[in-house]
Formats: sequence, structure tokens, C-alpha cells
Amino acid sequence: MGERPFDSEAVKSMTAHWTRAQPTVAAFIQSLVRNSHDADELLQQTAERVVERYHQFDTSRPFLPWAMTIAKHCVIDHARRQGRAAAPLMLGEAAESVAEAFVQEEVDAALMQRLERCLKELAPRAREAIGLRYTNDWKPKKIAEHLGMTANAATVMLHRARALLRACLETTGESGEASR
Amino acid sequence: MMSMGPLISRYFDDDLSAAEVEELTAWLQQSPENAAEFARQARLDYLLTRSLAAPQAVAVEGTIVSLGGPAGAEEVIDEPRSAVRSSALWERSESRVTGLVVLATLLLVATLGGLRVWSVRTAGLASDSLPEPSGGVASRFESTGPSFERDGNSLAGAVVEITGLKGVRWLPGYERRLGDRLAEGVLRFQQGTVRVRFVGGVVASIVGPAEVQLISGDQARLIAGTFVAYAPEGAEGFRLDTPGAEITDLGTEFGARVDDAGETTLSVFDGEVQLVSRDGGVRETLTQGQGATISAAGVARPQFSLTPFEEPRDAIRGYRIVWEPFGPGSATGPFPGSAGAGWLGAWQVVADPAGGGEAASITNKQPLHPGAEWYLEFLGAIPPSAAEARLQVRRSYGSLDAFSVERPYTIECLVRIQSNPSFVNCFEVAGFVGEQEEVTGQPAWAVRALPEREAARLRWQVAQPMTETPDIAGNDGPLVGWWEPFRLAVTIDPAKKRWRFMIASPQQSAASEWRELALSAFSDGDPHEIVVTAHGDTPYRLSFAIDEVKIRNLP
Repeated sequence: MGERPFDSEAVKSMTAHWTRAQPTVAAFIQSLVRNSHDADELLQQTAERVVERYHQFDTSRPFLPWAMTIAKHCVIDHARRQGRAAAPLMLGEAAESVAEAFVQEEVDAALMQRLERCLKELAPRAREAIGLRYTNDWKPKKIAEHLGMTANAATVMLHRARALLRACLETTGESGEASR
Repeated sequence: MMSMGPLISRYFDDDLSAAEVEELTAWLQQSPENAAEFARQARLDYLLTRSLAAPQAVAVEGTIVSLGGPAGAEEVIDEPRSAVRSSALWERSESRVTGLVVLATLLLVATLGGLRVWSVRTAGLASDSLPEPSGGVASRFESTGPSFERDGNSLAGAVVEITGLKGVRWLPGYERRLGDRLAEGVLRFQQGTVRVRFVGGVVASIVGPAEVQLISGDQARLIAGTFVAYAPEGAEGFRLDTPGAEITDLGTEFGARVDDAGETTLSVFDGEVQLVSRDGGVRETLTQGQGATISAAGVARPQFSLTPFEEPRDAIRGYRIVWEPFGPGSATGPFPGSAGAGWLGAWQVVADPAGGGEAASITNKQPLHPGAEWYLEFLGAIPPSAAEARLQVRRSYGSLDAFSVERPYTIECLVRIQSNPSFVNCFEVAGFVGEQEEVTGQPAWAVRALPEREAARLRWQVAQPMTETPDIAGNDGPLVGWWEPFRLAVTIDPAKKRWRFMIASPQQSAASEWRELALSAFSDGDPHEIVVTAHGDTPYRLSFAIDEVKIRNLP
């Protein structure tokens, strides 16, 4: 509270910046905070801090690194509050290095379209495994039972499917537009 | 050095031990290259998460095609894209409070204004994972062989007709085809969704792995699986038996699910059912928003669940308007639903200081992100000194193709209020018809929630008359905790000029009785509008999200 009010140009600028940066910030948070509810909360918290501090942002500089710094601090604060025992699947300590990496791995709309194409290139069984993992939010053990294979085999299948998808994304990205 | 790829992949399957997480953390801090490798994999994980609830990604075999849709036209049953997403959302929400003890208590039946009756139950948290399809189904099934008698196109002797199939994997020997008329016998399949129409008029949707014994044109026995039935007028009396209960449809939509242990989960979405436990200890009429779990031995306790029935509920309905403002892909793709989907225009987001001042209005020029953009626009529109403010989103819809606002329909919204409780004075979901707002300034229907700040809860109620600010003192509307996502379902019956609503959170559900629509006149071509409004003390912290909107006719 108490910050200076924004003029309409500042609001437009902030909206445009955040609209572009939000998927990358969300991906960064999700990568470190695997609890989806916590990740949602942190994204919201980041957005609020961006609003509160936008008047401090130097618009001659890139927005994404600035927003990622805010997101990183939100994650680190969250990790401290939670403690490792409470959130074993969280890489809070690696937030610093991962945040920097994400600035170079921006998520944009074109990637989503590319992913749709790449998914079609997967073998049917691998595509089904990926679908069960992400659509149904199943773990490898359950996917294995469903597909009639061992848990290890399901884990390997998911790993290979991801590797193929990444290769496809990066290949089509190189032949198309740059990702940032 | 050994590749860390498999370990990273397993990390994104949430499948690492604490020691492995430490190993990964240390590796990430070793070099920027390592972090970059992780970030690329994380980016893929994010994209997959965001995209795979889209229709093309629903991992089922085949397609669902049905006969016997509206006017007998051939139709394709909607992919359950929203069902998948919303189920996942509920599951996440419910998982946060899984440890809560179920209180099997019928809390209250209280009157509001002498006419309205609330019935509120504490609801247990359903386990939403279906029985495993592999092995378990076959081993649990009785050894009787299939006994369907195909009878050409004749309905003579038939009990049901198969009107829809989706991703169905039949058990060997039980294969059926679309359009089959089936006599008494057993319906068994390993996975997928089967839609049937009973001769008695009930439409049902069954999700596998399932075993259903078809007894007659108005009776079946659910041995395993998930079963949703809709009984239109004239088809009342349909009976579904389960291991622990007899459920009789009194003109309604309900869902029943039987799990591996033979426990029945029953939820009533509309109307009434009569529940009689197998041991005779429970004989009760359940209404909209109520439910129960009944053990195989017949022991019942109150519980209402939505998640297990999302997909079959979608499957028994026809065309629907679906908008997931913050659903997968919506943040990066084109704004959905602006044409050809029943919406008559874009969403409008309006922010203004209460009691005067210039309102700011935006449309869908930019994709909306969870909370943030509304919040941003709101902030820009309202001076910080404003004592009160209003944030509103609204969108109009109308008849299109097989969807008609002239037939009974439901609006279901999945909503999250993200503001700090101390900043919100009132949250409202309302509907307008035609020029009503300009003429009377009043909605045709409206549901409001007022905060009980000390308890961090919202209390929902119908305001009557609409112009009055509801007085929560002494009223006992349903309560929803802050931050909880909740599903608000409004049923509108234009012909009878009535409406009612149900609200369900992971912990509670409640429903209102039918109420009269506040309509002065209604003509076929009138646009309808849904309006969601938050009133608050300050412009700074007022935000909410609508994760999903489904508008659809009753089956």
C-alpha cells in the first residue's frame, strides 16, 4: 500500500510484460515446487509483487529476468517456510541457478503449437503413457499396471518419450522461429 | 559422467527419493549447463501439463459416436476435456485436505425467508481413482457368459440400446456395437465410456472398468464401475441396485460408483432419489447436493462427490458451451469460444469504484491469466484512495445448434476467490436475460456470498428480493472456506420460470430449492448473460478466477 498509482501507460506496459513472461515464470515455479496448489499460490504471489514493485522496474531493461528474480525469492521464501521435510519434492536450494537458466529458456505460445505436432510423432503406446501421466496425473507405477508392464519399463518409456519430444521441439524450433 | 536425464525425468514423475532429490539439487548447482539442461526438461513438463487436458490429448482409444441425440441426429459426444481438467483440479484440491475426518452428520435443515430450504452436509472426501482396469475387473467378474440377444433393429425384448461408445475396451466375449439393442444380461468392459438408453426412458452413462447387470427396462444392478443416470419426466422409478444399496430414481440425475471393496458412492445432482441400504437400516430420500457412501454391508454415511462423475455426466449430455478461462493452452492460444460455441460475445471485465467514478472496461484483446490480468486492469482503473470497488466479468450466451436456452440447462462454474478475506465484502454470481438489466436493473437469478472473516469462510445465499443486501445474521446458507475452489451449479428451467443452485466444495455441498426466475418477459431470441462480481474495500487485493464454465442442456 502507499505506492504511487499507475498511469494507464504503465498499466499497459506492465500487462504486456507480464502476459509475455507469465508462462515462463509459471514453468519455473512448477519445476521447483511440485505441489500444484503451492505452485499456483506462488505464481499469484509473484504477480502481486510484480504489480507492487513495477514502478521500480527500469523499463529500458528486459522484464523477464526482473520478474524471475521476484519469482525466485518467492520460491526461496516458500522453501524456507516449508522446510525440506515438509516438501521433499522441492528444489528450493537450486532456485538461483535454475532461475537464471529459465531466462534463456523462455516459454512462448509457439512452443505449445509445436508440442501438439510433436506429440503426434510419438508411438501410440508412448503417447498413451504420456497422456496417462499428464492427463490423468498417474504415477509410473499406475501407468505400468494399466499398460501391463513393469514400473521400471513405464519409467523408461516416459523418459524416452520426453527425450523424443524435447528433440522434436528443439528441431522444429531451430527450423522455425527462435524460442525467445 | 552418467546422464542425469533419467533422474530428471523421474523427478517430473514425482518419483524421486529424498536422497535422489538431494543428488539432483547438488548437480543443478554444479554448473549453468546443468541448470540449463534441467530448465529445458522443465519447460517440456510445463508444456505437457498445460496442453494435455486439451481434447486431442485425452488418452483413450477410438471415438465416441452416438445415435439418438436430439431429434435422432447422429452426434459425436463431446470429449470430456473439461471433465479431465476439472477432475484433476478437484483431486488436487481434495488431496490437500485428505486427512480431514469425515463427520457423518446431517447438519441442518433451515428455512430462509420461510420458503427456501437449505440442506447442508459435511461431505467426506472421495477417493477418485477408479479401480484398476487390468486384471482386477476380469477377476472380480462372475463367470457367467454374455447373454445379450441381438434383435436386429427391433426393440422387442430389448432392455437398453447402446447410444454411445468412447474408448471402450470390451472384455473378450462381451464386445458390443453402437446401436445394439440388448436384452437382459451383463454389460462388461475394461475401460472407456458406454452410453445407453433404457427402454423405460432413462439415459445412463457408464465408465469402466465396469460390470452392469441389465435386469429390465427400468432396473439394473451395478456390480462395478461408475454409473450416471438421468431420468426425464415420465421415466421416474428407475432402480439401480448396488452391493450395499437400492437406489430408486424419483426424477433426477444421480451418479453411483462401486469400488473394488463393493462400497457404493452415491451423489444426487438434480432432483431426488430414494436410498435404501441393503440391511434396511437406512431409508432416506436424498436431494440435489446430497450423497452417501454405502458399504457392501449396507452401512451408510453422508458424502457428496463430484469428481468421479464428471466424465459420465458429460457423456450423457449433448452439446455444451465450455470455456476454461485459465485452462491449458488458453494463456497462449486464441481466446476460445468467441464464435460458434454459443457465446454471443467476448467476456467483458469491468472495474469501477463503487458508488460512482469512471468504470474501466476491457475485453478479450489479451489472453487472461490466473488472477493477474484482472488484477492489473483493476489496479489501473481504480484510484488507491477508493473506499469501495467492484470487479466484474460478464459474458452473454444463447441458443446454438443443439443447445437451447429455451430448454432446461445448467451453468456450472469452477471458481476460486483469491483475495484476502478481509478485502472482500460480497461475491456474486448472477444471470440476466434480454434487456432486463436496463429495464429493471435486477438479475433473473443471483447467488451471493458474504464473508465471515473471523472464520475465513464465505456464506452463500439467495438474496430476495434481489435489491436487498442479504443479512447473514440468523441465516444458515452453505459455507465455503477461503481459497477453496468451489463449483457452483445453477439449473435454469425457462419453461417453468424457475431456477435453483447447488454449491460444492471439497468439504461441503448444499442446494437450494426451486425459486422463481425474476423475469418480467422472456422471448426466444433474448440473449442471456452470466455475471460474476466481487465487491471489496480496496482495489489492491481484489481478484478471483473462474477456471471453467460449462453451460449445457439437461439430457
